[in-house]
Amino acid sequence: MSNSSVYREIDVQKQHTMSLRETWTLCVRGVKHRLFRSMLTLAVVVLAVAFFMFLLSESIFQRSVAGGVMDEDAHARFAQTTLTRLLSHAQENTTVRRLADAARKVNGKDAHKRAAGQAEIEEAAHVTGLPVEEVSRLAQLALQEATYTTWLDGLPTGHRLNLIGKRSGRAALNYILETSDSFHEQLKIKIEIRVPGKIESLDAFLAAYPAYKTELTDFNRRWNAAVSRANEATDLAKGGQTEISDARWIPAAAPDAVDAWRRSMTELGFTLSEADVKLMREQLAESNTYSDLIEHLNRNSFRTEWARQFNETKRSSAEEKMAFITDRRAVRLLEGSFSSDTLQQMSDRYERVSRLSLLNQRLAMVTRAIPSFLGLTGRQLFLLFISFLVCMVGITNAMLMSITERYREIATMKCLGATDAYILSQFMMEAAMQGAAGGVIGVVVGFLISVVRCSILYGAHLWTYFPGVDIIFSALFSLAAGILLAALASIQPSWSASRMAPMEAMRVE
Amino acid sequence: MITFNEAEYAVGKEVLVSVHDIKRTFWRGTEPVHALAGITLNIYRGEYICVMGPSGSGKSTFFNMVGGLDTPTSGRVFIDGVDMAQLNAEELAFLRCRKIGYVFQQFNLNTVMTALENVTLPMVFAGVSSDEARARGMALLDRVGLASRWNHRPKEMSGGQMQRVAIARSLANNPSILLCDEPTGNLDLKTGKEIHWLLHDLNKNDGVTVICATHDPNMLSVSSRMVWISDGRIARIAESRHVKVEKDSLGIEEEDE
Repeated sequence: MSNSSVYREIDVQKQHTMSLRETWTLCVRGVKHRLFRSMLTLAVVVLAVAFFMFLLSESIFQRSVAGGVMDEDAHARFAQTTLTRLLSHAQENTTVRRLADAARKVNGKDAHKRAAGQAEIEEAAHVTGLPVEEVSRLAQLALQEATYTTWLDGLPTGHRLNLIGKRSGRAALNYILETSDSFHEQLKIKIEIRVPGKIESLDAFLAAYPAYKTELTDFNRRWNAAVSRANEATDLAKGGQTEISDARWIPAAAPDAVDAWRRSMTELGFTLSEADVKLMREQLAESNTYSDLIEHLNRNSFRTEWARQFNETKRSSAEEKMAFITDRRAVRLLEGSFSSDTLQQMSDRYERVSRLSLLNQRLAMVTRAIPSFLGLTGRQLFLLFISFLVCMVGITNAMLMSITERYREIATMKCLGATDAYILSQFMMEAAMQGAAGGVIGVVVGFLISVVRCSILYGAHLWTYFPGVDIIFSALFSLAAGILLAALASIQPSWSASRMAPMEAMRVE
Repeated sequence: MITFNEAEYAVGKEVLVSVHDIKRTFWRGTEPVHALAGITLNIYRGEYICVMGPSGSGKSTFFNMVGGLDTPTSGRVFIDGVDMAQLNAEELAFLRCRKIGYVFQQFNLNTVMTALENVTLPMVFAGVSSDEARARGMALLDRVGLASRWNHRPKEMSGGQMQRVAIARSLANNPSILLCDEPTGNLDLKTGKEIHWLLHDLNKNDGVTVICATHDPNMLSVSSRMVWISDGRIARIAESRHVKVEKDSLGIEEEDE
């Protein structure tokens, strides 16, 4: 020991930087014992994530069920739509709808549907004798026309009156074309009106619209010429039984006669496979029986009889009667004309059709809504934003509380050599852990709520068209959102914790 | 009253902490409050120094200065030859971690950690490997007589035991200085005495320099020098043996209280 007054130089280095692993270990140790206190933060994260997950998974469920129901519906009406396509002269708006449907399928993601859409376009090309590319182009324009008319018709009344008056459909498009300048002016003023797609593509469509209309008329004329020839060929195939309707003749006629009819149709360019015809015969037979049954139920004498049997004070409609068609009294009443098996089949059909139409009504909002992000509509996104904002305030508050509670602990840690960066990362990490835990719970809660809700609304259809992969992705997305939310909300509290003066530890309360 | 002779006292001693005319002014609105109005003091290696003074005397502010927790408005503080004013935040953290051990009145143990985890926490901050930290932590707990309770949490311990753990923690990185802020303030008389003797033992046998703020007259018997602070100035410095003589001859209680 020396009594030197010259100060020895010791090496003061930078403090050891805590590795993420070390921070993590300390953090886990703390959170493990402080879990109960972080319940508030956790609850807020759970709420936010559950809401997010609920919105996401419900919209995924709805879209998936809507797609499935649409396919089922299309399949159920296959015979009817095929007959109409082949043998009824098409109005221009019908043609637009058909072409737009084909284009929508081609533009979609589902490979199966893309092939189906392409096949429809090729059929149209064969029938009209136009090149496939030409029809493809026309179909895309038709899709645009359909999109824009749907959009215009769906606008809130005030905006609609401003933009297109009381016009709708093609008249509305024509009007926009005439008053293009004022239309664009209106769009500029009312920024809340959102054009589907880009405004440039609307302009491009409007520019191409007059030429497209002429082309479409030409296409329609060619198609209807083919339909006329198809009608002639059908009459020929029926061989003198022209008074019988096509729908009655096809299921009743001999198989080779129907096959001859099918071949004549394919010669005209229509797509009609043997399997198609088989399906048509089945469906038409059933629907013929069904309309016979309805006709029978509507007979005056029968209605009186039914009313007596069922003690009705007010006579029921045929539709209402269908609900009781397998009732013992109904079976006995109809014994002579319809077997009980047939009645059971008709009852099943009635239920199937009414269930489909109910689902279609329930899903109408879904299929019509224009999704802006992640399949969510603007309104849903707005709600989501607000809820996230509220949750962020909540988490920030909870974190600030937890920091005030741990004032002394933080200051002590600083006395023991913790750097600002360490304190910051510890608190951020804690928040992220809470976010992750809350996120997992929230995802499960949100998923369960939406499953319960959707299974009430759509029943078994939910499970038939269960979008597993999409749900997993949205769960991961919600989880990430939860963690991010917690981390974002804790930036400020963590920062203020890291800036705390170590001398607070000395303070005596 | 025997006056303190610094030149005589300093013989054979090495300056560890040197405080040069430090002032610290807080602002209460526009009115300045001089918590420290110019203190100059040398603290030597291996010393056990007691800082006494009524509350509001600037004792705590002085402590914060010496502990590197606060910077003076004017004047300079050297710890182990390092000018505190020239250190940045990270270097200050390094200094706090390795050069200074803190013992608080309210123990300030981390309530969710076990005794051993509490003791090894500063080692974790210093980047000591976990095996070594464990071994050293156990040795320190053994030193304060609590090796058997390494797995207990603070709420399962008595105040005296908590303070022992806190002392073990303060020694984690072999500091040159132990800063004790009223270490017995929250303890009963008997336990307080035990803590004193532990600190005394550490000072005598392990050569730790202890700076201790206290109201406790028991400190007299363990410390080597006493400093009284009032109104932000040093009121008196005295060697304990002289104070003892005074006390014995006059039969008075501690003049501080």
